[in-house]
Amino acid sequence: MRRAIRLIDARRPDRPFIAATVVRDFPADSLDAVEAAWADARDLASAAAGPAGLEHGHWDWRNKARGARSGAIHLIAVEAEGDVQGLMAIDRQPRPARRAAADALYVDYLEAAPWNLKGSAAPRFVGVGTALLVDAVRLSLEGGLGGRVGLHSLPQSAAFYARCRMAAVGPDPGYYGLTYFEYTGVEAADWLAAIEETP
Amino acid sequence: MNTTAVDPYRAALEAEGGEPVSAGARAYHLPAVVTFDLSFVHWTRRAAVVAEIHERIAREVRDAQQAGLSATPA
Repeated sequence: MRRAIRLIDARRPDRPFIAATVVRDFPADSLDAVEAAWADARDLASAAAGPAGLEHGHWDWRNKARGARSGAIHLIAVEAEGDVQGLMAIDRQPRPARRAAADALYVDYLEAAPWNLKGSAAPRFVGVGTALLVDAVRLSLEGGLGGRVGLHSLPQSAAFYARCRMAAVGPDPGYYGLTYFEYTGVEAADWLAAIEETP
Repeated sequence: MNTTAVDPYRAALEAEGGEPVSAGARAYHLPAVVTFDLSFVHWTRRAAVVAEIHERIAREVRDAQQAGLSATPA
C-alpha cells in the first residue's frame, strides 16, 4: 500500500512542501540497496555529530531482512525523489501496552535517512520521522489497537518523541536502559488532531 | 491587522529540525564477548555454571533464528 504525504524540502530557502510516499510492505530485498545508499552517509553524519557520534551509527538494515521475510516484522518506508528517506520496522505481534490493559503496536526500529540529519552537509528533507510515526498510529488504528504505539527511543531522539506528545514511561532495564515511550489511544488521536493529520 | 495562519502539519515537520529520530536497540553497549570471573565459584561448580551459560546462549540463538532475528542491531 502506498500513501501520498508531504515533506519539507530543506534544500530551498523557502522550504516548500514536496510530494513523498509512505510505502507499506517495503520489500526486504531492497534493504541491500538502502544500506548501500545510507552507509557512507551515516558514517559522515555520525562523524559530524561530534565525539559521541550518532547512537544508531552502527545500524545495518540488512539485518532486518530475515525478520521481514519470515513475517515477524513489517517494513514501512518513506520515499521521495526516488530515494528511501526513512525506514521503520514494526513487530507484527503486538505487545502489551504499559499504560493500558491492552495491546499496543510496537515500533522495533525507526530511522531517517542520514542525509536528512542536521549534521549532514546539505540536509534534504524534514519531517520523515513524523511521517513514519503518523503511519505507526494509523497502523495501530487499522489493526484494532486503538492508536496505541510503543517504542524504545535512543537518548539522542528522546526530545523528538516527547515533542510528538508520546509519554515517557521511563528507562527500561530490560532493553539497554533505553527510555520506553508510549501513546495511549487518546494521546495518539490528540496528536494527530493537533497536527491536522486525520486517519 | 495582518495575521499569519500557522499550518500545524508544517510546524510539526519543522519541529523535527533534522534531529535524530532513531528508535531501536543500542546493542553495541553490550560486548559480544565477555569474560566471567569464576574465582568465587566453588571449583566443583564451575563446569556446571559454564555449561548453563552455554545452554542459555544456545537457546537464545535457536529462539532468534526461529523468530528471524539477527544477532546484530537494526
